[in-house]
Amino acid sequence: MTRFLVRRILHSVAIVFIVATITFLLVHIAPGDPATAQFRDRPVSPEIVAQYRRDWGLDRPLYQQYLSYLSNIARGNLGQSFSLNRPVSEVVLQALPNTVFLAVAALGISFAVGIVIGTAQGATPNSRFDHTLTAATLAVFSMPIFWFGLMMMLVFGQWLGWFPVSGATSPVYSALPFLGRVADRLHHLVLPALTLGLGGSAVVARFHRAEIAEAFAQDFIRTARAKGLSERDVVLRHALRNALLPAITMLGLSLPVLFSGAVLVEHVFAWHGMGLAAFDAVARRDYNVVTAIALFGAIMVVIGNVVADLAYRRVDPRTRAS
Amino acid sequence: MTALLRVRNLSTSFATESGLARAVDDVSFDLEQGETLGLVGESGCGKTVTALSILRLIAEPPGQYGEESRIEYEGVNLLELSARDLREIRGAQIAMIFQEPMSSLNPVLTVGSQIVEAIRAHGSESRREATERAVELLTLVGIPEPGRQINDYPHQMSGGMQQRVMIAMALSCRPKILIADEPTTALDVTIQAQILDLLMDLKVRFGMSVLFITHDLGVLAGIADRVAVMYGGKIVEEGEVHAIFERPAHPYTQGLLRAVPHIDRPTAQLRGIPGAVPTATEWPSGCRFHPRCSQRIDRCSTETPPDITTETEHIARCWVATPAGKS
Repeated sequence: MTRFLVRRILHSVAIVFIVATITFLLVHIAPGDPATAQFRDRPVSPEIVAQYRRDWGLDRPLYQQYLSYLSNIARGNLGQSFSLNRPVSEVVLQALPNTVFLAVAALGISFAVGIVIGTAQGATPNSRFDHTLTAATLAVFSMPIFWFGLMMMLVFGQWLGWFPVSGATSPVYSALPFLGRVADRLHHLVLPALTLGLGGSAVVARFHRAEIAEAFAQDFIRTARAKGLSERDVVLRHALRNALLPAITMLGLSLPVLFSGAVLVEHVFAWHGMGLAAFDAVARRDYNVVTAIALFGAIMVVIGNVVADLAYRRVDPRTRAS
Repeated sequence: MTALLRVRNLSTSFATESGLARAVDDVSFDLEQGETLGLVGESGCGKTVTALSILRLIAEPPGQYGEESRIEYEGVNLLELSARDLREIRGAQIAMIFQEPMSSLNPVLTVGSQIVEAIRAHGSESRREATERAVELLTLVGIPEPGRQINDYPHQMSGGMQQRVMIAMALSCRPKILIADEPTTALDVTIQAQILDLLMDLKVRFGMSVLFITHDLGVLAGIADRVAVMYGGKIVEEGEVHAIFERPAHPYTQGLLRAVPHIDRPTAQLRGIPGAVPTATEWPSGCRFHPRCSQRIDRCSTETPPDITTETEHIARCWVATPAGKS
């Protein structure tokens, strides 16, 4: 068990290092730099632009910038944001809670909805019910997530007026009592979380349907029926329990999808999280913020995978260390 | 006296891509109180489908039962029961054990919880009472340290122990009938003998009837009261165990017996039956065994053979079998 953990942690460090390197290269290869982005709308003399580059160390050779970047992040120093003129760690930490809040809600929705739909489908394979849900999940899955978000806004925000369509809180948030704040946050959470969560639930449902169908073909399902168990117990106690094991792995694997989905959904709903911060930073060529957020994403994904692996070993008696 | 279980004109077919597979075709037999009936035949002859049909464990679709089919348990046709009423029979009145104990047990549940679940499905026992009963059952089937093993997962046990768990689970509600579908096929020979002894001992103690399904005629010699031989989805010969072994009337049964090794005749050459079982989508016409039969006559390939009673309680479906009283 300890050996397994040590190996996984070494792997994770290597992955984070590779992600840091690739992101660094990508942002520097992309056309433009913080200086051009900074003075895009203002005609300034080339001297000022050159001075700006010197100030931020952008005139040094790329390998030097890379080495100082690596030595900085190794010491936990994420640098300064070019465009916001604040430490990057501050920018990221400010955006992090909103993103975690949205991601946890979306993850909960995608697995709760996906597993219920997938189980119902897998238990009645090739029925009309199954085919209808397959079509529905495929439709949601095929929709671009920003468009799906806009439609959610249009229907539930504009036409029905049930939910706010922008921001994580109301303008009057700070004046509300505690419970009012909680309600206000949840009210704002509904549409972005549903947008992000339902997109994910379509994937989970299709995957889980196959797992349930496979579990149903197993001999122990026949044994369960031969014992005289109700079909409900056969599904919930025997088929679902076995089909949930792969879902745990999927939970770990869905974190990156969730993270990249959050970038678009946060932008659509003006949800001030890591995704929106990343979006703005890319537009402004704010190298340090972009690489820091990518790094954070990589760390979250890697941790998610290790946790999923540990959870799997915990739940499946066959892989549990004896 | 009517039999405990009466199977009448059972036909079970499956819709497949290559047509309708009539896996079991017009099968009838009785299982009396306290009797062990052996159902024997090669792979693909329909014996397992027959067993599964009794508890309606065949998935419908693709499976379907013929309109004439009746499976009467204590006078009630199981094929007409509602799902709820059928559950009262499954496990409580008629229990079943299977060929592969490893895959027949749920890998992610402890053996104890799987037995407890069977007990509680049919009774009002509390979880604690059911657990105590499960420990008793594990003791009864010869599991060492049952108090500890009850918390084990199936993969922590050997195949023989897993089958004992399956037997304990099957007996948990004191069923009147136990259907054993090749329960020893997947086990080592020495373990096979132990499981057979255990089954026969428990049969007497519980006063059960047993429907024992096997491809191994030799196994039945020691345990069965009567034997039914299946070929091509039909029962081709049926009789008291000694009659079947000593005076087999159907060429197929005779062939099966020649393929069983005898411990007292070590030098005798074993003879197989040439050819293979035909597929259920296209059974041969007439007698389904005729393409492989060494004694066939012209009418075998065109006309379905009738029931020939060769002696009391001994029936063969064969044109060349000799009826009783003629020789």
